[in-house]
Amino acid sequence: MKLIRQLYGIFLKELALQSRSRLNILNRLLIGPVISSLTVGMLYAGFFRYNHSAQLGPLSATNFIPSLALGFLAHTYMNAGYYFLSNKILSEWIGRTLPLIWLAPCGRSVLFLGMIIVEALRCSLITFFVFLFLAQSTTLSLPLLFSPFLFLPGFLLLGAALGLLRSYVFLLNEGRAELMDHCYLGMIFLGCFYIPQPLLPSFLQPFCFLNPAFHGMTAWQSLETGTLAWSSVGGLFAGLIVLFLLSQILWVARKSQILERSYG
Amino acid sequence: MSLSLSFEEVGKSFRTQCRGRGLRGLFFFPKKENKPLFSGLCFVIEPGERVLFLGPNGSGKTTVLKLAGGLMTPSSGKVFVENLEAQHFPKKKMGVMLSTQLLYTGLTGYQNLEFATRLHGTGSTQKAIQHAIRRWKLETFVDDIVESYSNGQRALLALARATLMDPPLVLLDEPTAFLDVPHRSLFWRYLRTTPSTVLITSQENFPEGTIGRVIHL
Repeated sequence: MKLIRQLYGIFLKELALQSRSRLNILNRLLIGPVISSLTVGMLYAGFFRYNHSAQLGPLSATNFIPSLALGFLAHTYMNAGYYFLSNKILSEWIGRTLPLIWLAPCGRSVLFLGMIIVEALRCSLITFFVFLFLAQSTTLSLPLLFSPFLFLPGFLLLGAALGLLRSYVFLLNEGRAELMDHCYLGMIFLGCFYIPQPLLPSFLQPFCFLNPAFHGMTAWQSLETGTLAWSSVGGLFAGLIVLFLLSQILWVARKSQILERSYG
Repeated sequence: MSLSLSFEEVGKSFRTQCRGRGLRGLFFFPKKENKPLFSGLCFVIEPGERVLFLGPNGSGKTTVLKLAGGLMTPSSGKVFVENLEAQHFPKKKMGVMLSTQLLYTGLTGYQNLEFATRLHGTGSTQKAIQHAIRRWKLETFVDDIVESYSNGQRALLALARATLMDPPLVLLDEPTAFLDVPHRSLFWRYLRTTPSTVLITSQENFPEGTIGRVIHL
């Protein structure tokens, strides 16, 4: 009951704070995924229409739209975790309220969970519309219909772990945060959300296996063929755990430095 | 309810960066050095005591408060709150007002208080908030966005939040800096009646009866 009251308090506060810039946050979250999926989608559509080829790697004229839709959702959820959480920490730093994270009468994990829930609720609306669109254009199998509950929290938390790393870099030296953004963009590209791995240049393909987002995407797309690639699910969650542990270790190791800088 | 607090041979130094002037400052890496603020600080604060830290700018008054609140780690020595190291002391038993005031400027005063109360996870949020509003006379502006507050109103709201759940330990950094005379007397009244252990930093001395002890830094 106590936890629910605390989460409800965080939920109300976040809604009140975001009510002034609702549109901006939505834009930031969606702009990358929308541009990527539309651009790549048009290229695929043109290829299948004018080249008269049945296959492009694992893609065909019938499966590229569902595949892109899944990529779009995975990208959106990762963006949500990455930008929302790190921007939240940065805005608290700028607003000089960051020490409240350490002064809060509840645990930091509760604060973190509360913020993530707000973001997950917002994203669930986008998921609903994407699946509504998919249901009209293709037949959805039952596992695929329930798959968002497994994979999308995974992508959201993966983005959040990276967001924690981004805010760690920023709080130590605000000039270096962009380096982290470049790494994140690379991770998105090698996550193969829009372009299947066999279509990437051969020298890049091995790097995909180091990327938990790629494993998550592979596992999710495997559902389209009816069999879940459990090893890829393991890859996603193993990467997630490693990144969370890394961010925790770094935050704890440099806690005093972060705290001293957190007063603005 | 109140708590005891002890500083045992506490020292604090800060890592600072020095840059040269003019073009030299732009092209050469800054020189980093550890600047000691204070060392060997020892004192014990008894439960219920109200202590005022006085000292010139840069003497370390705010740092003492942050060390007591576990918001900084000492470079040497230890800070204990009720036999626990300050950093591990549960924050729900502590009310803090820093000079940055720690207020969400995009929320109303009421929403700030409501959020602080809800984080405690207790059911009776309304009662505690109403009590704080009456105690600090926030009625006329509590429903306005904090962004539009004057410095004095922000200080009052920060005071209200720090003392919201009547925590056993209260840490206040320059609480009277922006307060007018009527609101200062509210604060003196709070100090005379509270059973909490209160640590305050200020540039000026407080009236008779409000403070138990003054520590000069």
